[in-house]
Amino acid sequence: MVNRSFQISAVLLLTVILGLSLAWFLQGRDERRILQRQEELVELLSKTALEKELAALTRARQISILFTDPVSTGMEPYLTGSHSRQDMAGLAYHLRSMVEELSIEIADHKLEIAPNRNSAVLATVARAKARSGGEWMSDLREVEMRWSKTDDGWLVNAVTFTSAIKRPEGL
Amino acid sequence: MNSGFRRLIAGRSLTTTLWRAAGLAVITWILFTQVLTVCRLDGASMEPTMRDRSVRLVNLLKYRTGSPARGEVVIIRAAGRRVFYLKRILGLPGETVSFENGQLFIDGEAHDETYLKDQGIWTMSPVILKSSEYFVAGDNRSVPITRHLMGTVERGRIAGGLLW
Repeated sequence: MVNRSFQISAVLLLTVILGLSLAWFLQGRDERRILQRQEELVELLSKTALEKELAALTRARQISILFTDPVSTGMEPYLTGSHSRQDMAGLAYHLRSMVEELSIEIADHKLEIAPNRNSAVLATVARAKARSGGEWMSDLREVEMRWSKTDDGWLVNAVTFTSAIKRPEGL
Repeated sequence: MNSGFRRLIAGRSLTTTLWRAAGLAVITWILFTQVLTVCRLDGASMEPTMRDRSVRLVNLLKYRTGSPARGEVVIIRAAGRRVFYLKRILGLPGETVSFENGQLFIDGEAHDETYLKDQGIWTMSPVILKSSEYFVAGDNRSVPITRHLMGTVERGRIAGGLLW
């Protein structure tokens, strides 16, 4: 037997859950799209085995179209400045060809979308593991990606290495 | 349903049990997102004081009212709420921090670090901290200074202190 107070409680709980779900769905569309694009980028950058030339070039092109043209980078000491989409394809191809295996894991993230919902900043903590010459290397970095909403969807227009802990000059 | 089993699952009143369960869930959520957090170390930065892969409990409220003190181990927020840096506070806002052959100097005066097992041979030119900055480093001084993540951190990035 279900009594009246239980029915009221159940309806209240259901209303709250439905309200929260609707709010999450309406507010989170851009967030989900950006995170999907980021997952796509991570997946494309990853490499699990030696690739044929054509497959590697196709991947490099797929990576490059996730960036605006031009894109700004501040990833010292590896890559800084402004780069065209063609440059990015070349860099992605070069980077991936240097390693036998590459995996990137986004360990944490924080996404902030501008009030006009046309740009966003995605702060991430990324862990990269790569195998080169039979040896594994690993690096953990804070990476900030700036995203722009374009006719082609959300694209990365800037990538920068950041760090909560700032090393003293000269070290 | 067997009445004994039903009593075990739902208690005397299903409504009361549901509200209690919801209350417990909310309290647990608040406790482990706003008050405490469990973290597992990944890396040798704090060795040998704290072993790689050891599990630690962090108090997220520790610095809501007070400020970090020298020698305390703190967690530093990177991005999001899952990954933190764990470091020891060496320099406080406004101080000048330097190292000479492993010896820590604060405002030009030698400062003993009793928690260290190996003082190392770090040498670093004086760094003047701004009013909102702390100087942090790990306890593993056997790593060359150029390969150890240490330096200044903004007060707002310090998210809590180590409980144990």
